[in-house]
Amino acid sequence: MTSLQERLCTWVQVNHLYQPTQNGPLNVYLRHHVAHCLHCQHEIEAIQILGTAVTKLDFSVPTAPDDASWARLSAALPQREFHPATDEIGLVTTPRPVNLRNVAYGAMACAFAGVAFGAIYFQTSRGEAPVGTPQVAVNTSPNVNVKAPAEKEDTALAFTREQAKQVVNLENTSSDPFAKSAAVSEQTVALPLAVAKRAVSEKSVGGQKPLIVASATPQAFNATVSDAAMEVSPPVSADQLPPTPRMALRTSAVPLQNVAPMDSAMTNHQGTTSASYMPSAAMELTESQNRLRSLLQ
Amino acid sequence: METQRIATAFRNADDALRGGNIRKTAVLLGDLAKVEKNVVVQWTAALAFIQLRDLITANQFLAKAQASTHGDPVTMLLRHAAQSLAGSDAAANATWLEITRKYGTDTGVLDLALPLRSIKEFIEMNASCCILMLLHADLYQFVGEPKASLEVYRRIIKQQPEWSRPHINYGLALISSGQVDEAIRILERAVALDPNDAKAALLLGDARMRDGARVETTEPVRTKASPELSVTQGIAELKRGNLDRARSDFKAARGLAPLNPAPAIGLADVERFDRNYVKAAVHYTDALQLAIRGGYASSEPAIRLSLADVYIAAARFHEAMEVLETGLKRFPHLMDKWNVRRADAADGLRNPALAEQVLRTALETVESSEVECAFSIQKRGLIEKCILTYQVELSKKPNPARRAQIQTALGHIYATQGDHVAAYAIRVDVAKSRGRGIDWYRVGTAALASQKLVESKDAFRRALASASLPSDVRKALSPDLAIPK
Repeated sequence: MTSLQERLCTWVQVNHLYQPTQNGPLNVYLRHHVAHCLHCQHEIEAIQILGTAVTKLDFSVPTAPDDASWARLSAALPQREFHPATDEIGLVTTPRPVNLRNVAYGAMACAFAGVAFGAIYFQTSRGEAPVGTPQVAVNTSPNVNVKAPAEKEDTALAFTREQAKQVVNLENTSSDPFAKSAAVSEQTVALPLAVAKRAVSEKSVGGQKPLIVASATPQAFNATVSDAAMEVSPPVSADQLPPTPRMALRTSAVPLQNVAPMDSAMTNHQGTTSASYMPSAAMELTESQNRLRSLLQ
Repeated sequence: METQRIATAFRNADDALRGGNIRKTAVLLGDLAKVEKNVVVQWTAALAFIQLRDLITANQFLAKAQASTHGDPVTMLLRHAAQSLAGSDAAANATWLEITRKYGTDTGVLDLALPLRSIKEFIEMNASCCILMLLHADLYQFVGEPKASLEVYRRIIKQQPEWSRPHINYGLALISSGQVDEAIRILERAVALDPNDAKAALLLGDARMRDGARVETTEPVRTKASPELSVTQGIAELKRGNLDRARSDFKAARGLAPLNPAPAIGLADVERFDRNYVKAAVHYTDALQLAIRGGYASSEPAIRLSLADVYIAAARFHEAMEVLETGLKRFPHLMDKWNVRRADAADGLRNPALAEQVLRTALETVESSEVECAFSIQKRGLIEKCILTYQVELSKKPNPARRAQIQTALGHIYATQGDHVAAYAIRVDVAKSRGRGIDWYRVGTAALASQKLVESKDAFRRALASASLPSDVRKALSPDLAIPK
């Protein structure tokens, strides 16, 4: 069962199609948006009022749309609504207006569940009341690793999906979508750690096929051979042209280990790793130049 | 008379050297250089005084050589050596940059054809001595022919078995030729001859580190701090997995030689090994700038490729693409290297069409080592699509040049799939129509892979008969044409 936060994030993404902006990654922006968008608050209130019925709500999309669908969806959807409080990121918000829908739901709930349930509701409602300042500080660091959507829409969409996926994949998340997460608020915008730490070849962006990145991580077959051997003995060695200094450069694509892949590097009792190191091609060539330079000395 | 004077002086210099008296050797050669105008004599005397560490006298002979040649690469190389020994790193760096700009080649070696010819003619007309032979052999290493230098070093060592310098340089040539075991043996002899020679000990440590089994026994000589020693120790620590110690060593080396890219590369390698890809990218960027400013032309592509790799690993695909596109412009002969990674970056940017396009462009146009692109296409599951695309294009009867390009690409794809018979058939077609040496070489490899030994020999013979066959491919063909080395 997905959490309330996950449902909301999915719902907001599907209905508003938010893309990463200069203000930060999507999950941070989503929280800000949800905190200030009347549209979203209605949904949240509806969920809260329904109480235990929340599990029956389904805001998720059945399957992840493919690239073309995302692009079409993006183009077809109207521009998101501009709420004064929504777009002035980082400024004091306006008080939440009282709305009849809320009252109606409240009355219905009271009728079905009685005065006790109503008391719990009003207590919860006060706890959720907006405060005077935004609940999420949006990181406005210029060190943003994403182009503005207007400039690079494909990239932006891909990044949106990646971020949304991270939000959905959060484990042990609170059922409170507005609970401030220190990890999120302090997250650097430039490089999502979860993305950076994961092997690139394992990444699946937007629920699509995994990336095939030959040069990112050691593969089983190339982690066990020396760089030179890898250069001269591919599966069709007879077709391989002879090794040259240029071809040796392929070593730079291999992450430096020659015995065990990175993931198997274990820390021993001396605090060292058991994986061995092969000097990179850049180091080999530079050292060879240095040795040549000192030849006449 | 002149020839006799030179021969006598050289003989006396060799006798003095045999007695272990490098000072007397230098003085004898210096006396000769004062009366002889020939630039080869000036170089020989300058090298003798550099070996003696009398840099002021060495510079006097270099000035004389400069005046007679108005600038030549050997004089510049000797001046660079003197500047380095004098500790003038900035001046030495500037000299090396000038050497590489004037005499550097695309493959990172120096073009010293003229001075090598001058030395050869001088030796044939007059005589030789061990110092001149050492210069001759060292120049072969500068031009990227370490094997040619081996014989000269052996002759010097035979004449001067107690002189450690040729042992050291011979060891370096052996390492460059891949004969590490022999290099270790020779360098052990060099260390035994002169236990105080830090260079011999460092090179021995380096040779031992190339032999993974002996890495634990690598203990570089404990001399005063030097960047070479720190880098060597850093590599050894990194090989042992001591990342913190490796970091310290490389940082120490950077402090001692701030203009040298090796410490920055070492730091980058440590961070890459530790999966701190963003930090690694910062160090690789530093190394790249130092390499460009310091005349490390041969290192630049490798550093760029490493930088692109860590950017890709860090999911910073825009930066990776920028680095790769610059690399492609600067070093177009490595098109396949750049394009395989550009395809990776394009995948990261969710642009599979670009990925396919760059791989196919490389496959169709790169002269050599296109196999990597074919594998990359295969890994992406694009084989069938590529074959279909090419077959459709062939059915439209393109011009002969384009037809040959397409057929070449198809040949690579078939070979990658293991269908060597199909690869052979299509490559024969290309070779008959275009007839280049590399085309016949490809026919030979496909024939060999499909057990057509007679056809493969014939194809390799045709390849060797072609003047356009790339030199590296020519060297790789064994004399009996049975199989590429």
